[in-house]
Amino acid sequence: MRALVIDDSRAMRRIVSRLLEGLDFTTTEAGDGRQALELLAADSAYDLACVDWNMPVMDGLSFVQAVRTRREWRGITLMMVTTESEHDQIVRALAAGAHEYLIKPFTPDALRAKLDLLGLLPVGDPA
Amino acid sequence: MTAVADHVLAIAQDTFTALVDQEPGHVTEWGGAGVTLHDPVHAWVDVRSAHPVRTVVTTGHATAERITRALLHLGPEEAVPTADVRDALGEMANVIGGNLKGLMPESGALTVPVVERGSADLPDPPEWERHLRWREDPLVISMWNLDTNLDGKGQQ
Repeated sequence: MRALVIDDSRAMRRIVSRLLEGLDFTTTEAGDGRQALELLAADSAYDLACVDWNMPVMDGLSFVQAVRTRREWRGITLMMVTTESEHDQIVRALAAGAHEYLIKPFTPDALRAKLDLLGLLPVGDPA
Repeated sequence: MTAVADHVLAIAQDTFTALVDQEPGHVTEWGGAGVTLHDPVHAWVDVRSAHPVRTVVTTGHATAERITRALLHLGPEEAVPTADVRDALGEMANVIGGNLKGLMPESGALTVPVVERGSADLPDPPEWERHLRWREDPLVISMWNLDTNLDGKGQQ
């Protein structure tokens, strides 16, 4: 499995990447939505994108919307990983095309449970 | 003290447990005499709304380095780059401020974090301020009403 981790915080990218790599994902990091789109344009073979909401240059919601306009990227599962916890924000993200929503701070078990819901856990690694 | 402030301890505990300590129990009320912060570092996020506010996380620089070292799983001999300290403390402010935003009665937009070492140029008084302890180190979380306190100064 390959995952794209998109967050303007290098610390948070490292945390998410480390957890995903522990679940046998190979990860690539991007610091904002624009950089992530550039990475996808060069190589779109990702199974999962974990995307923060509040970022400079291009925010996570705009990234999700941009990905959903491209037919060739429809196979990528999009999960918002953000501090935005209000119901309206969650609805906006899901309406824009995000598949799941994980609120910071999260535990490793919470991330694993979301991946299990999305069918992205390796076989034999139940949440 | 507002209703939002009542949740600060729990939010700080959850944030440190998930991001820094990987186990609960290291964030408590300060519980002692006044807090003295040596070489303070301030990290904040604003909520832009009809009544904008700023959530500030303040700690000493040495504590900020310890938080960064734990968050990034750096070894005891590894240097802690200044950029990583700014990034790590900024993300702590982002998570704590974002969760406090979720408790506010009106919705708003969260800004990206800003981190300053030394003076944060915030005139007294804050709307509220909580003195906490992370392990043995002081940690101050405060909220500032940007309508009345800053008159727009420092807003992003």
